[in-house]
Amino acid sequence: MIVQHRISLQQDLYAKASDPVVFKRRMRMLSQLALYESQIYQKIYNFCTDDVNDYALTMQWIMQELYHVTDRNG
Amino acid sequence: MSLIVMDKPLVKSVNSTYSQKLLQYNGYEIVQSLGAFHKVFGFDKYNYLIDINSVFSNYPRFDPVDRTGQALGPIQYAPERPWTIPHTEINLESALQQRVKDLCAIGQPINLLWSGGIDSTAMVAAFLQYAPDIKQCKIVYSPWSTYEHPEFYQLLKNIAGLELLDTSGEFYLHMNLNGIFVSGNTSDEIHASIDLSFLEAYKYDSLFTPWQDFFYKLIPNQQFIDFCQQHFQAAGRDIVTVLDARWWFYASCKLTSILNSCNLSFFTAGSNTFDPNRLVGFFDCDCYEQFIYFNLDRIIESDNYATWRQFLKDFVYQYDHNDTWRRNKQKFNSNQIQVYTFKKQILNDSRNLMLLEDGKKVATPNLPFFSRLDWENIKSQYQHVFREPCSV
Repeated sequence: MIVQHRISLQQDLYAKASDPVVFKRRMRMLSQLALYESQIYQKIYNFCTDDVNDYALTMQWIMQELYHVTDRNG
Repeated sequence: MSLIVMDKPLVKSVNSTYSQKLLQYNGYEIVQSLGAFHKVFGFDKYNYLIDINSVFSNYPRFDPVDRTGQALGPIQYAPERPWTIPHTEINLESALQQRVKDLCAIGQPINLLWSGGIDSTAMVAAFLQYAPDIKQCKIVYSPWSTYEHPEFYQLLKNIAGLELLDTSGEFYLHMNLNGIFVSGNTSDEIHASIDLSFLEAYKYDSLFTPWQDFFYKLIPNQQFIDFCQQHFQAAGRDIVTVLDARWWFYASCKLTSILNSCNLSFFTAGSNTFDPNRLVGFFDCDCYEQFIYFNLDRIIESDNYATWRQFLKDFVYQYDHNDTWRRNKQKFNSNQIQVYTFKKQILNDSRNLMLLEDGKKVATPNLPFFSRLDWENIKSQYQHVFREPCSV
């Protein structure tokens, strides 16, 4: 999921390289995505639960979080 | 304002993502889920409030917090401004003038959150006309504010002494401003929260039909109707139509829900010491209720959705003379602050389960991963924010 978002942002970056404002925004989003990625991997690693559903449910929220981190309106 | 140190702070807002788990982990029995709401065994009156909300909204969000105190739910929310029956009518201009005067008298910098919508534009127009010194105010906006109302943005740029602050880019992620923040949110609720989907589904005329018939068609339960009858009596005026009932429910039970659930998270996400009292709903005040309470018939003037809160647009027109905007502008669901809020929470790693009235965030280290084990480790600190079933 994260890889897909990164590729999409990178494609945007190339496609709009002539627009300095958009280019800067996409660069910022890519760095924010990297920050998010490092945070979330660490959390998955640290998380302890006796209910496997906790993982499944949270994966849905992570998809939403990814959307927010890479939302072009933000 | 200084941060208040509280022994046992109550709840300002609950993160709806985790509300079901929080209730279950605290031993409540969820009898039904409607949208983001959960009816809980032992809280019959509160459950009826959820029913009212589901009558009015396809996807009800944000817990109702009853200003009359009749139907409180399992979460102990911080007390809201209690409902008091207005006895003296004042006109719109006087209400807005009084509100501006009261806020300016606090003597702190005032950050006006301008989205470009009807409510925040009316709020800004009121400050521009009535603030003793406009230099006390700052317009806090995003590019989306300027897309929604470019003419007003041009007007603002030309006002001498008025500072405009664009929060986009990196700025909103690390915003650190002094003073209070005044939001147009609370306006929807105090004006009956009429949404277009409701009008499309039930048509304008349904707003003026008896609420009992309307409610009973959707929820054929006489006990529910009896509860509503009892609750509506606290309004101190006749609640006859669907519009009356809608106004009463949103004004008495949902007034600050969006403010506390969305706007507040935006500010607390960046700071561990943000005092929630610094965030103010412009329309959440006694003086505005002294106007609207006596003017419910003016909330929406015709079946044209653009006439919802026409008097606010007329008020702005007196200031900017923009007749096109006055005639055509209708509510636009700008989610810019929400987009910013989610992103700020995620990137600052300040996701929370609940926000408390002293600004503290209730959180566990691995959010958005959250388990019963996590809650067991911290729940003893927060027992006081949960009510016993049947206690209300």
